[in-house]
Amino acid sequence: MGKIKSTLKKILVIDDEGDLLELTRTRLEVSGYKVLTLDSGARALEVAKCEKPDLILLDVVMPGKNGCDVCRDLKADAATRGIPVIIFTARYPEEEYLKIGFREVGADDYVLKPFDAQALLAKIKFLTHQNS
Amino acid sequence: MGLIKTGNYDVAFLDVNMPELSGIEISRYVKDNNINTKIVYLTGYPCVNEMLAKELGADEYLRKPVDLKVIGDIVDKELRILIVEDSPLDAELIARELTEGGLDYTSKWVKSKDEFLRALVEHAPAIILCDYNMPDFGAQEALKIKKESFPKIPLIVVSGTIGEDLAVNTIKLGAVDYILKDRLGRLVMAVRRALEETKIASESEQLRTELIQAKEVQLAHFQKAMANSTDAIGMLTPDGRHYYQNEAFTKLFGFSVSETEAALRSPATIYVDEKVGRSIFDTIMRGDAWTGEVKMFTKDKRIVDISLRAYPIKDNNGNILGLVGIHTDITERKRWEIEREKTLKWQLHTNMLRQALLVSGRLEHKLNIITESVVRIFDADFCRIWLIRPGDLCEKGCIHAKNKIGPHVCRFRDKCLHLMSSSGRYTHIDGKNHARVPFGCYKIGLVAAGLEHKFLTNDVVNDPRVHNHEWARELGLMSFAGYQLKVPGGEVIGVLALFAKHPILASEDALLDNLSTTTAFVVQQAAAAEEMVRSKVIQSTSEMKSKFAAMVSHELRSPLGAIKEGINLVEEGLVGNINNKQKNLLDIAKNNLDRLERLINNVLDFQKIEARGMEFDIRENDINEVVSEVASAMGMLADKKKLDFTVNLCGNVPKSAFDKDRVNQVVTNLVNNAIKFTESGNVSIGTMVENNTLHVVVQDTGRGIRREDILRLFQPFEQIDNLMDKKKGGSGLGLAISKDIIEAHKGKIWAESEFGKGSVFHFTLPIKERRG
Repeated sequence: MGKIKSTLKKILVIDDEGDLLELTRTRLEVSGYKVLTLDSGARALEVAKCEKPDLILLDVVMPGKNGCDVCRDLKADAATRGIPVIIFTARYPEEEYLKIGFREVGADDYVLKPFDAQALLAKIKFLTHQNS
Repeated sequence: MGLIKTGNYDVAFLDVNMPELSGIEISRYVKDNNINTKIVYLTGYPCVNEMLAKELGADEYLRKPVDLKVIGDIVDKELRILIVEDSPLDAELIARELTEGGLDYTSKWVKSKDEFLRALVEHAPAIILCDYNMPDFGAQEALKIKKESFPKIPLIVVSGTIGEDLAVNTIKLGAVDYILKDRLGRLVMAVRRALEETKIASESEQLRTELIQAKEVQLAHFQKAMANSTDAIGMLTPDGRHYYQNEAFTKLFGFSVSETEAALRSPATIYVDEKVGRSIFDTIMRGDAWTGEVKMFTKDKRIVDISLRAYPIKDNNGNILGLVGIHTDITERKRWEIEREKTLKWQLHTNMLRQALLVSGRLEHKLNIITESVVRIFDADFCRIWLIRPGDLCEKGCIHAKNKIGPHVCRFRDKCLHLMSSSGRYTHIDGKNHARVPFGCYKIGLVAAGLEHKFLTNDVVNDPRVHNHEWARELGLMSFAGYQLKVPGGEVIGVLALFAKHPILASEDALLDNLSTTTAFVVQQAAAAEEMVRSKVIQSTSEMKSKFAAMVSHELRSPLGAIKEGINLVEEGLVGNINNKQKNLLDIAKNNLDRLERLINNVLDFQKIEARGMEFDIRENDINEVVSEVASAMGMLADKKKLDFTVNLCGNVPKSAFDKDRVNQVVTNLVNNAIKFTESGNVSIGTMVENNTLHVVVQDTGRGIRREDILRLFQPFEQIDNLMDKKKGGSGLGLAISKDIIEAHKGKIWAESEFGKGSVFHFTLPIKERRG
């Protein structure tokens, strides 16, 4: 089991919409990933430090602390700086900003909701391979 | 001198200037010696006057040559009696009777006709006493002579008994009395009475003469006053004979007396209003006076305003002897009155106009005030304001007929003149053939298109530049004026035009010209104000719509994503095996989710274009190529609906610079719509080249579009509620996006449609060389 554990990439998904969070978890799990979920950005840094995920999938528009701020915090902390982050949103005009602005907040890539599952998986695969 | 010394003379006539002894010396002697003789100087010296003569001792003086009658008057201070008697005894008896009766007299006794005649002249008797019967003469003959030559000298017949008949006869012949010789006692009394009567008669005659003279003087004064009057005075008899007119009358009317009489026979030649003329005559002939103001013609047919006082001239019994008319020329005064009234009216209306234009209000309202004011100030028959506005579509049966290029489209559609305001005879601004006039057509269109900034004619009925003379004649129109409404930049934005029944004067023309400039300014201001309000509204609604669209799209997209992902997971068999039937059903669900997503994306697309504008990739392209690509892509869709789909490409289409993908998007949209809304018949697409423009036409035999909808067809969002066919799907933004794309290329896009029969969509692109 331990071997399996070590081979499975661990992904932290942070989204305030529970339904979508559940679907994303399913999609990632059937694609061979270990998935952790959070329904807000408040505990993101703490969980990331503790669990050390291989990648973080982060929604931008959330009540409380938004995705952009969470991302900045992650990239500012030496312990979490190395974890690749994909941020996503469904809201205009935030998504327009995201296309050019994702690097500014330190994210490694972006996706638009609703996801094209294959495109998302390709990006995850690329970022986790490079990191490993 | 010796004669005078005797003192036997009553009067001495003395020549003043005589050799040896002068008249002056003689008169001095007379006065010094108290001789009772009256001295009368006779002199030729002009220096001698009455006063000098009296000083020199004369009682009177006469200038030579001397009037004998005057001498008679001077001598005739005493009673001279002429006695005509053949018997010396009787003559002596008579003389004694007279003396005894106390008369102070001198007498002359004659006994024949010859002596009688001479005595009448020389003796100048005051009274004649005449015997009735003498051998060669008689009282009858004496009376006859006296009556002819000296009718005023009384004659008393003194005679023996002659019988009563003869006596009465002598009285009839002119004798004042008859005295019998045997009754001479009555003589003195008779003489006295006769003299008294003569004196009274003479005095009364003198009095009458004086009276007549005074009246003549008065009359002369009246005549002079009338002749010199500045009022024109004319008089005529009741039967129409014009017998008097003064100089002022001749001067004012120009008629001679006979011409006036001739003119008066038909009042229409003198009175502008014949009826008034007749009523004036009727009033006077009834015996009343007529006073008032009346318009009259002069001989040279000038119209003059007259203040007329006309009276009948009546005798004491009220019979009308004549008519008198006193005419005062008040033309000038009247003209000033009218002028003043006009000025006041003008001031009033211009003040109203200014106030109305200054306050804020709707443009239509202001234009109405302008046309209304023109009608009132300039007494126009009607006045209209036309503004140049794009005429999206022409009405069916529109007078543009000649200028049509499509079924309903005029080639002046961008410069169509729309009737905005109408006052006076016509007040409607809608209705066929009146609401619009194409640029360059008819008077209004010509004025708008003309090089001259105005068109003015005071003879519309005959002016060859004006059509429809018959209409103008029927309405009695005389003048037309049209003014371009020009904004300061020089652009013509419309026309102000008026028709009037009187000539438009140069001064009025200048004012109207001025007013048209003001009107242009008002229109411009109003347009600017409206634009500001509109852009504010658009801005705020646009912002609101943006937010709304963003919110809606997000809210739709999130659950949509969730549904889609769920279905995907199941369908892909990642969470358990599914059979084919289940997979098919999930496919249907997925397809419809894709469609819904496209729809939402379309909304977001448009939102992006609105917010940021579009970027274009302009390259040299072939429009036929684009149309062919779309045709082959959409052909299948048409086949599916069993529609006849035809493509008519124009040969020889030059290449032109445009964004191929964007134009493809437009053509696709138009063809897609055509197929979507056509249930049977055909859909066709064609290309044309005209006037350096590419023209693409997409035609269908679908259900068509209502006229009221056609104007809003290209406006974003408007048609989402109204036009989108729920069954057919589509965001309805396709045409708005197409419009943005075509207009960004400086082309035009429009639609024509007859509801129930089909639609035609056009767009044009200017042919441009490749840039750079």
